[in-house]
Amino acid sequence: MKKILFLLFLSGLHITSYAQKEKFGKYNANEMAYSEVDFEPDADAVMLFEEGVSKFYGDVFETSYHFRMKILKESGISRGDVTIPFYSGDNRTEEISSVKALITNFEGGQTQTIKVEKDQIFEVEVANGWKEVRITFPNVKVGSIIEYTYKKTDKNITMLDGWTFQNDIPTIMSTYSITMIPQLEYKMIGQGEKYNTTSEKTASNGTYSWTLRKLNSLKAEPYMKNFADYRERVEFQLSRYQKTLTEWEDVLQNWVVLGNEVLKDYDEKGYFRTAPLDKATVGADFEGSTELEKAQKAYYYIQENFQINEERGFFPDQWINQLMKSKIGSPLELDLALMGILTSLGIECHPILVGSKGSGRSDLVPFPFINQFNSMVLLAKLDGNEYLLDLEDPIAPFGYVDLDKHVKAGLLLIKDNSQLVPISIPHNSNSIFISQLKFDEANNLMVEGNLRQSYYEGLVTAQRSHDLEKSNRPLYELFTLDPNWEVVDFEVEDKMKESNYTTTNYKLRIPGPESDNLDLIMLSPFKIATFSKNPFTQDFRIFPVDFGFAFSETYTALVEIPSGYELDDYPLKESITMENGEVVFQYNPIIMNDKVQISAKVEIRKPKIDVRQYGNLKYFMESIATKMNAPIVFKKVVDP
Amino acid sequence: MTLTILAILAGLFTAHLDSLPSKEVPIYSHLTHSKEIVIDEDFGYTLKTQKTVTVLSPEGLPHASVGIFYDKLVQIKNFSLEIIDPQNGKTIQKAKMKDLSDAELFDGFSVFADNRQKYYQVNSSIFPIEVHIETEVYHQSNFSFQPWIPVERAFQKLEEAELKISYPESMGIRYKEQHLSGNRQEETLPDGRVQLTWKESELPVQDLSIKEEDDHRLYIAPKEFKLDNFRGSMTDWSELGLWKYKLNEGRDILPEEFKAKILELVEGIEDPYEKIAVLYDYLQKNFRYVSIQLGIGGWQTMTATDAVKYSYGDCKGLSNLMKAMLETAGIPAYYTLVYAGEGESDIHTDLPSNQFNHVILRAEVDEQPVWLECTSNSLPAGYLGSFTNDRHVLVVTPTGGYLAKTPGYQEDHWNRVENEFHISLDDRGDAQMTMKQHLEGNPAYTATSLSRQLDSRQQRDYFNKYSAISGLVIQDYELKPDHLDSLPIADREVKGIIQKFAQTTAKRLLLKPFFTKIKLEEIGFKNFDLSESYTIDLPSGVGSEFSLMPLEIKEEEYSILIENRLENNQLIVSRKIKVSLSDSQDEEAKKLIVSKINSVGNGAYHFTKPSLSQQ
Repeated sequence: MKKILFLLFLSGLHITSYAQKEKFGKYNANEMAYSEVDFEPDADAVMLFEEGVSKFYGDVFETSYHFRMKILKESGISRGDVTIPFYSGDNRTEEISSVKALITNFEGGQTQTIKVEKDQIFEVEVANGWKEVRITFPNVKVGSIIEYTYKKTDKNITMLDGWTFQNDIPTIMSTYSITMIPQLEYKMIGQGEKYNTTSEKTASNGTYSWTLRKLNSLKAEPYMKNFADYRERVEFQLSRYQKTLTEWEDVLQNWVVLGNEVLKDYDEKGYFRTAPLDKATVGADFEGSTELEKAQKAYYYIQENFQINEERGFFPDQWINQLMKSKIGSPLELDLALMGILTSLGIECHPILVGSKGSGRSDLVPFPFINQFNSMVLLAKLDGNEYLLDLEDPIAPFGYVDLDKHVKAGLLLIKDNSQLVPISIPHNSNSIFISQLKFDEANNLMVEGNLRQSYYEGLVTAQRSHDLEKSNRPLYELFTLDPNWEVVDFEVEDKMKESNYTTTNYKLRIPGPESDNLDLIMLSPFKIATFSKNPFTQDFRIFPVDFGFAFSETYTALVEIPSGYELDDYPLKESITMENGEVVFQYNPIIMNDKVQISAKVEIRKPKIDVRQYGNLKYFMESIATKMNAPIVFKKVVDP
Repeated sequence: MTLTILAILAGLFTAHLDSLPSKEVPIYSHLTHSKEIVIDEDFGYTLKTQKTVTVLSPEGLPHASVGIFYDKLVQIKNFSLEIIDPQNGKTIQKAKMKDLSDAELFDGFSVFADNRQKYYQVNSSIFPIEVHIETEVYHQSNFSFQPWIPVERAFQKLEEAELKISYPESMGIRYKEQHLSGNRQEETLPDGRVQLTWKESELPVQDLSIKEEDDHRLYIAPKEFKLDNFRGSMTDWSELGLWKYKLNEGRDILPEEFKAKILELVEGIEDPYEKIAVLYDYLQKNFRYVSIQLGIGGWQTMTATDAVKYSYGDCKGLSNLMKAMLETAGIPAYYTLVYAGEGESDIHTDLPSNQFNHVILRAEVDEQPVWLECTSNSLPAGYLGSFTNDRHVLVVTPTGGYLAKTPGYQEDHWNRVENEFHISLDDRGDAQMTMKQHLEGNPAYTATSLSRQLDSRQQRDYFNKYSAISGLVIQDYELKPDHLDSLPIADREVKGIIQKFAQTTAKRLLLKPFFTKIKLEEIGFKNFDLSESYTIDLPSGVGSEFSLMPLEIKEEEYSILIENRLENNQLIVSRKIKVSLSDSQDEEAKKLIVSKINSVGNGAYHFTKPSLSQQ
């Protein structure tokens, strides 16, 4: 799916057609008969129609919502419980009112409509200011049409909710309109393939509307990182408002204003004051002969002396004094504290706001929409070189950035000079598997292996082994091993800090045959290999495959020819590459006197693979898996 | 010529993975705590807790965090927490009631419930810290007590634990000790009340593998109790059942119009089972499970009239409704309490008490039970599935309750799978596959219930993910669920292409492992019967070098018979597996058995290439 993002100013819209309003509880023959979604026949329910109508009432923003859904299969019946979350906070920031709901069934030519009574509509305080309205529809069955409306008021008018035209079920028609008032000016972004190609847009007397039709369901798939990339959506952010008859006030008009606003918050909370930092770090040793050495000391000081809490985002909750006292903070607060220490050491250091993978976008909109950021990294200049620093991971060595923050660009925050900057985190992440296989006197197959993983591959193993140790689980759970194998030895050596790699050494005993008079022995040499199983099982995908980052895995197995046997057969040399070079696989057997060496290499060269290539990728990965499982054949030497 | 061959494509034969010496369990906190339960004359009770947790490392912080349950019947009266630096005795932090956060306690399925908790999360960057916690909670009813568990957390060293329970003698208390030291005292207090005291100390540090039945626990139950305005006694199961009956009495009245509908549905049907099946089917098609638990409503059923009105209900409401429907049709049926959950331990049958979390129905035909899970929209009448099978339940009757046991579904006919594969290889090594599968009993229900939870694409992917044959691209997939009286049956047909089904080496053509893999849950009912056949069209001229002799393995827990034929370039394989486990096998032993069965014969199908075999 091609993703296009662009910016629209409200005044740039033109009239094309009007969205059709649907009357509550009135259905046409098509809706009554609707039983399968032609563009997504697997769907168990469908959103026949949904509409949002937004208006301003003074400084309160109100949206009227209207949803009409039909249950198509048994597995869709659970959609009869509808949840509407909203943020009430301490000041009733958002409120839900006028909830109406009904359900209609069509059976034996009869139409039966039941209004959902108030005692079947619950408002629940969930936690932390969040509430939910929950509607329980009665008599839900295959063929039911569920319909509900409500109003939501919102006191926050800087960032409006906007509208997502997609659901986790297919949507036949989704329409949104917003009526602006002259005193408030908003910037808007619209995104999505249909939004940019077939959406019906209207503009009339300050009311703007968009209608999109036949939208696929939006569901997560394996190897999919940025959900937000694929949503058909419009969003709004206030750009200026009228203060007096003649005077307008800009709001987040450009990157500099946005940057200054964020920096102002950091400043107000004391993150640019050196006194609290100096006081709290008395006695800490940040001395070094280079800026790099000093920065490393500061980084490890924070990492070792502070705890990370569960708060996330790019605005600190705590003031610097609170943080330095509690020594517990969000990754952002720890990053800011590190920035403070580096600055007081005379090192140039600035925050960069990023939209992390999973919740942000792959490509930033080139306009200061604040919602596209959700976390931060630091940019430090050390001895003339630029380093990205991040304290998100409590065990990551200096210079590692949380993998979700490996994005293309971010907003560099410098007072009066904030700007978008590209982010580049080059690394040579790879895994090297080396193993030796031989039969012992008792016919057991002994496997001695060594796995060296570098950079982010190594970091992942370091994190997993750290977690296993903390929960007192055996380290061999890093691998999926056959329950019949005996683990003789297993250890993980973490050299990430010193040398950017981890080493896993293992010794396995695979019990051998009861008979020692076998004619053939067939042995698959790679006992532990990531791609010996195809990770792609789905018959098709909607979204691109995203491996996260480019990496390679190299395998070498040295197999000793069993005594009394000779090499009879082995898998042939092979070198294959996907059509556009996304993935490369090489397999190479070398025959020696009393040994066979098999080498293999899998390279993910382009971590993001177009969905149109999915069929080829699945076949390619199956070819790799098949080859990785292919056996060497030894034949009993017949006495002459 | 046939050869004897060892194929080490996966592990073979026996050995235990846990061969490395086990490590000492780490300690993240030390715990000293005392609890006091004071039961009043009005059947309410106050639970006071005093606790000191010495947190040694960040991993121990959750051990000191506090979560206090409350609802309409439980009120939090007091809370205080103080964090002290033991190095200097200075207070680092204090918290009171106003500092508690509040959140809904979502059970994962209720649309609306009054279960909530107030909680306080302890954070610190210095270690060790000493956390002193005091709580006081008032329960309006003594209907149930949480078990006393001296070692509260894994990786926690218990220093000392004490529990005191005092109660009016007339009210009584019963208990069951599990792995306790027996350090118990009983005394009569000056006001005539009875006080029981337990003390435990120096119990072993536990890790995450601790099982409930191995834990140190005290289970507590009242003799006399009151919930809302309903008094009762639970000195035996009959009395507890009678109380439950009274709690729901009169709530099973159906609207006349609905009664008429019921009678219309069963009109002309003589066979009582058929009547049950017809009414159960009507319930399944017209009512759905919705859980709403408020106050006494967590224990008492909604009325049958309301269930009819809303066409939904929770387990209590739907069972009560179905009971009323059956009684209208002249079939006796009894509301039945159960502790539900896949693989859950049985209740303590020697401690009559509220040990239940779910309700099912026991209908009767000629005094024989027909069990009904009224929250299911797919189970056949008389089949409960693994959620409530093979365990003791409390059947509630107008004259009292009695314990009964639900069926285990262990016999062969409840655990049968038959597969028929036809695979045709092409020149690239890919293959066209057709599979016809017939499932009976538990496997049929597992497949059926998945089809009700997943959309068609997810079902295809689920099948693919767990298919023994990798590289399958499904072209057609159809599952037809059915049942034969209580026996669930299902037929599945799958057509697709197997990518890279065959690969070649210099001399050979090898087939991917294709035998159906037995899953751990399939042997969960102790017996399992798999019978399958494969017809594989091979390229012309290939020769066999593996043994065509039948392979038969007979072990105590399972038997395997594999027979092969090679005729006119067709490989025909027949595989029969019968599993029969005893009660003694734990989860690890079952895993090992599954692994052994799945490794036999798999990956052993290879052929000499035509050019070589013709030499």
